[in-house]
Amino acid sequence: MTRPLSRVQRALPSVPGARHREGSAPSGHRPAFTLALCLVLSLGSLACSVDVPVLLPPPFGPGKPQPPRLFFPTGMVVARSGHLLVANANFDHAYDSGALVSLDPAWLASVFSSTNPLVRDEQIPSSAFTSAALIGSYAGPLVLDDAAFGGQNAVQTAYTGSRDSNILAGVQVDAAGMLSCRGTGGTDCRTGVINLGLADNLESPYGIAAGFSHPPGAAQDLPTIFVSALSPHIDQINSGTAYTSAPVAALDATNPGSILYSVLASLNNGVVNVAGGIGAGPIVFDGARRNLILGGCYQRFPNSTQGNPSTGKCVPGTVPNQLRILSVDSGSDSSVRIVDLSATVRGSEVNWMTLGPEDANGRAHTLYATVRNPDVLVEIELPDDPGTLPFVTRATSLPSAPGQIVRILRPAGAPPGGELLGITGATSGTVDLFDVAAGQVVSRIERLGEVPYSIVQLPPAPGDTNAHLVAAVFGDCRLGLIEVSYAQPWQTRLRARMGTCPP
Amino acid sequence: MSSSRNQPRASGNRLRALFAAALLALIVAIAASGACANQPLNVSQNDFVAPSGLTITSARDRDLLFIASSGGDELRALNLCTTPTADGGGYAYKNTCPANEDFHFVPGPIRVFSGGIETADRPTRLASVRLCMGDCSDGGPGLHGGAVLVSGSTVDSPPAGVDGGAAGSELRMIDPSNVVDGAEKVAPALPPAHIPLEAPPVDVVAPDQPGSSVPVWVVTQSTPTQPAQLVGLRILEATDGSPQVAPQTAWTKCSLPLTVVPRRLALVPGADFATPGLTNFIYVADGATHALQSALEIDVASLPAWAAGIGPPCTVHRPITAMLPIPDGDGGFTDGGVLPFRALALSPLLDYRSANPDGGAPVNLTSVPVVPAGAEMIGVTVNGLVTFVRMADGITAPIPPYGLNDVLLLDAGFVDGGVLPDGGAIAIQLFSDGGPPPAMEPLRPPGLAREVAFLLPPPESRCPSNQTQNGAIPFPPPCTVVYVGNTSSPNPSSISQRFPLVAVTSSSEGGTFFLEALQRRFVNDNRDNDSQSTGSVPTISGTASLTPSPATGQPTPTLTFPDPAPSMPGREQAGWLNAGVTRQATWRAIFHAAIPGLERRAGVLTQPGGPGTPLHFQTSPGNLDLFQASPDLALSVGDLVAFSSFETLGGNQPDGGPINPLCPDLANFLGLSTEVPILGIPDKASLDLGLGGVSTFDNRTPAGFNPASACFPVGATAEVRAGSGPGKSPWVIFEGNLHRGRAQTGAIFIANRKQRDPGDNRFDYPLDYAARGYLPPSADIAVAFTINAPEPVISGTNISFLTTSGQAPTGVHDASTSFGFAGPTLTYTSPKVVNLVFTSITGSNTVLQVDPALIGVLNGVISYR
Repeated sequence: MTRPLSRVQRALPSVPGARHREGSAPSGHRPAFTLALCLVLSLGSLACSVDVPVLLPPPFGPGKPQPPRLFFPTGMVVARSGHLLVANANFDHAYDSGALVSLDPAWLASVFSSTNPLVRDEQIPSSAFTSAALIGSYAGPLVLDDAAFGGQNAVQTAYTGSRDSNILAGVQVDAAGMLSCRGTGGTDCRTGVINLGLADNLESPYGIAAGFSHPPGAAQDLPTIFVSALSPHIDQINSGTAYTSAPVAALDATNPGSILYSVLASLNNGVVNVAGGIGAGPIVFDGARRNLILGGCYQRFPNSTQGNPSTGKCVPGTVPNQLRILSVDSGSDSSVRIVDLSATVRGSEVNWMTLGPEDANGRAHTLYATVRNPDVLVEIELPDDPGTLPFVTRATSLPSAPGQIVRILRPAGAPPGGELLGITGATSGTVDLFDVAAGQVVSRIERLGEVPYSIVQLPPAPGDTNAHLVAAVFGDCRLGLIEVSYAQPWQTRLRARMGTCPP
Repeated sequence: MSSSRNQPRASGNRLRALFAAALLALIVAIAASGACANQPLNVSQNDFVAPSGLTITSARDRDLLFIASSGGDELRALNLCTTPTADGGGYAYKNTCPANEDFHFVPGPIRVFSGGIETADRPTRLASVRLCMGDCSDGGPGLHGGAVLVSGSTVDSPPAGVDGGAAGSELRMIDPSNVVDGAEKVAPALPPAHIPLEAPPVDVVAPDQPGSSVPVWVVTQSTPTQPAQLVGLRILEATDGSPQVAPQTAWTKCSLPLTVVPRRLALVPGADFATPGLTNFIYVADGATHALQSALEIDVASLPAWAAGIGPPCTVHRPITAMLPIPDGDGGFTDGGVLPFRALALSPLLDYRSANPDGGAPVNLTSVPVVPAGAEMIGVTVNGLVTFVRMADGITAPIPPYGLNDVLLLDAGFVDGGVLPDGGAIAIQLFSDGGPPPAMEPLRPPGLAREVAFLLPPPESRCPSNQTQNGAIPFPPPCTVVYVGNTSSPNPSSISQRFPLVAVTSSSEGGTFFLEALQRRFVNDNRDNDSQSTGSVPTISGTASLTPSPATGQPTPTLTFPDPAPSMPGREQAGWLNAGVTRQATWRAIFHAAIPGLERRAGVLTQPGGPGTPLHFQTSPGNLDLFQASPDLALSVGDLVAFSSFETLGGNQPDGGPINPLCPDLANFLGLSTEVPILGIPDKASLDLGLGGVSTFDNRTPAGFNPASACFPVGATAEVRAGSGPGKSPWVIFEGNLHRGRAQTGAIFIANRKQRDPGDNRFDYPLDYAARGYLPPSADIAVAFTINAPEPVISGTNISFLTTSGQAPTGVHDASTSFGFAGPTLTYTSPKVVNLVFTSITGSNTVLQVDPALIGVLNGVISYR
């Protein structure tokens, strides 16, 4: 039985090289293709050749267009159109790239509006996928560029870094939820907008934030995409010690292939030691204070392998749990302020950060952060006094391996209520609802699956009585759809687990 | 198709009878020598997942410690046999609790693993009821039973097939005797009973006294539109000893004020709820961000009868209001507002009157032979401070050395406090008469305080003994023993110290710390290992060092510390160090240092008046006003700017070259080599700068920063530095990495605590102030010093010195893991055990058992994991 093509399959543009190698429909670039073919044949006559097929991921392949699937979903954002964008990380390298997919908001709404009281355990229907684009593997967090333009950008661009190729992908999403590559068009966005490894020694781009900056000489604030390195760059290895640094690249959001400036968020060269030269995990842009805040802790281990020094999370207890704060207005000359959380809650790293609500002046006064070892949520006060460093005001125990945090927004016109956070628990397969006013977890949604990590809220609509959350379940290649009562936040409900890993 | 873990959970709520036999193996590792005494004994195989709630209740011939794994769905239970041993050996009375089960977990069917008692998802808070009929004395033939009440995010009886979901609006009740019977296979394990409520419970509490009908109170979750409900119910003992819930017609219920966010419930230890006519209160911690009070005191008799829906308003007997005093630097305090509580505990009865036939205070108990139960409350604030409340009037306890119930002031008037840098006189107000003593500041353990509990003072008959040739002679009261001192050094100086009233608080960094409750301070390894000690004072370690060392002939500043001023509070010690205020830290005074927050500022540098006129630096963001307004940053005219780099403006030419290439003056400029003065701050985004300037490497040398006019405009990055000159404070002071202000050359710098961040407040009152002849510690000075002229010539010259706190709060950590975060803490006493402390180390999935009398002693600390 032949399955009807989904909208996304019908909308798929050609992927030239892939189609050639897979022997499917010819591409539109025939002269280049012919030349390339001749070259390959010529070389093949001189050397032993092995035909390695390119295995494109769903829905582009493998082999031929396939029904779209999620495969190790990581970053998620909700576009202005209401489409849910999900980055598929291709964690097991089953394919030759990752993919960004766009999910129809109407389908999402239909799941939440279903009267079926049972949890739906289903495959995501092909019709739910609006569009898809190829990106690199090992995609991390996904960020829209709205904050760089104050929401005035006509077309949104979603950015995510590929940790194995150091390429930053930029994918535009239009009002219909259709995806296309920033700059080049089409849906093969694997070449990305910039290779940060080549351009900036920035390895394993992971943390991404959109904002603005005012580098030296600029006449005004410039829309900026900030990207941090998860894997520190080895500057030298001396007597078995790796001396590393980790840059943050500030990209021109109007031309993301251009680096406005690059600043080192950490450096250890044997003489100067700022945060031990560690790599960063999550980053947050504090527009009111015009700062970037970096968390996470990644090291290089030169002695662990015989080959390229490996990268891993910092060994607990060996490196302080430090936030790094950078001004976005000093260009590459920015100094780094260190906030050590270790004295208060110990912890090996900050896993995720989200700014709290803003006051009338647009200033957030709280930074929420999930911390590993111990696994806690910490609330960090951001003082107004520029001479006072942020400090921890409260810590609350969370289930194992807390992941991302989402602040739950209420619909316009809704009665005011307490601040609520949804927090994924990666190893416990849960989402916890944390009531900030009560200072405690008021509900826990279990049985989401293996490693729920990313979580977003679908835009609340006037009259909504429930918040609709979506958690990306990394290991089970699915989405968990969760309903939270605004009035009684302990009334939560898992509505659906949608998707499975490709066979 | 879903994996099995995603299927709806099978009917749980029963003792997991999934495993086969064999006795639980418990104690698996014994430290071999005294050298390892600080390492806790590790007992594994319990598989806690974020252990949180703790409670202890009776299960006929033993007590059981129940531990809730908030990351899972079950409880574990530890056997605690209660029968004491007799002097001549054997047991004091008939004992049926097997010795080989004592301090062993109730086993599961595979008996090498501890059994799990399934409750529901995420059990968090526990309370227990001791039931007893008949003779309830120790070893008496009364029918000893109990009940454990579990609150948490349980599932609300979901419809069939519904997976995951709503938090539960109910309590679950476990019969501890059935847990033992089930483990011993003499009775089927029963599932927990469901006690329906109308909203999820936040906390549950029950009296510690046994009875055949015991009241229980539970408080439910509030929302901005729905008040929390305080519900009273009653647990009865059935004829077979099992617990039963009284029908709802016997319940009570009322609504707390809508503004109250209940966090914890507490009762007075030992309160008699069985005798009719007695007045008893329940205390509700209010954790609202802008709480009007710290806690509410509610007469339990005032609760109206239960009815469905929102209950009538509770009758609040009185609010309990702990305030945050903030030292004003002059010996007085300003009001820092109400401290909302996240946890609280009330003091038990302390009564050693019988220890002295004359009716006076016993030896070593100088002033308080009796302290009524509930006279003191210790509250843990939502931001981790430990606060003492005098319950006689429900307000913050007075500053030491005033006693808990002292209400009269010393009349000490004012004293001369010296001269301010600006020449003004400091008049220090000691205390004026006519009002109460000032309130004490909160204490702060390392990390953030989490929970608190009192130890029950043992009766005189259980005081520790001194073995002599004539036999054991009990020590006189007080009798709560904490083993204090340094146990690990080559010359340990530990002793078993006795205290009248001790409490414990757990901390976010994983520790459990002991509090001397009547003195309202931490038990201290440095002070309390010597009965005669009046406390250790902080010190300045070594001599101040100057970096870089001035070259020969260069001016060399010096650092001096003020002499003691015995008549002035907070200045009794050289350097005006203060115990409980001064921390162990490296202090640095950096000459012409970058003003914190202005380490780098980018902007555009212009010369609007043309050649030879001042420069104008337009910078972003426009927040220089914040730096001007901050007294500790004090940006002002006369401060300095050092440029670190320059960049061209205007982009590139078509050939790729910059439109305005850097002029040679700036292209060859050595970054941060020159300081130019700030002539004006015309607005919050710009600085007017003078030409010329001096070298940062030798400020006696003019640097000649006077670029050609063609250089402007230009992008620049600058460091804004503290400047010298009349009235200026060129030294920026840091304590560790925390900024503490700016100092003038030749003027005394007083580092006052201001309660603005965790490192900036008093953490203890560790001295015996009266015995030392000190005034009440009202001035929170960390250190004072003067940097004497001449000023150095190199910017960045750093004078540093070390302070030690002199304090070592007595605490216990699980030394076998570096991960901390402690949760609930529970104290326990029984006919067999004088005092034990259990703390959930949520962050490392362990439960720590501490014998306060054996801290640091072999097996004195046990880590269940």
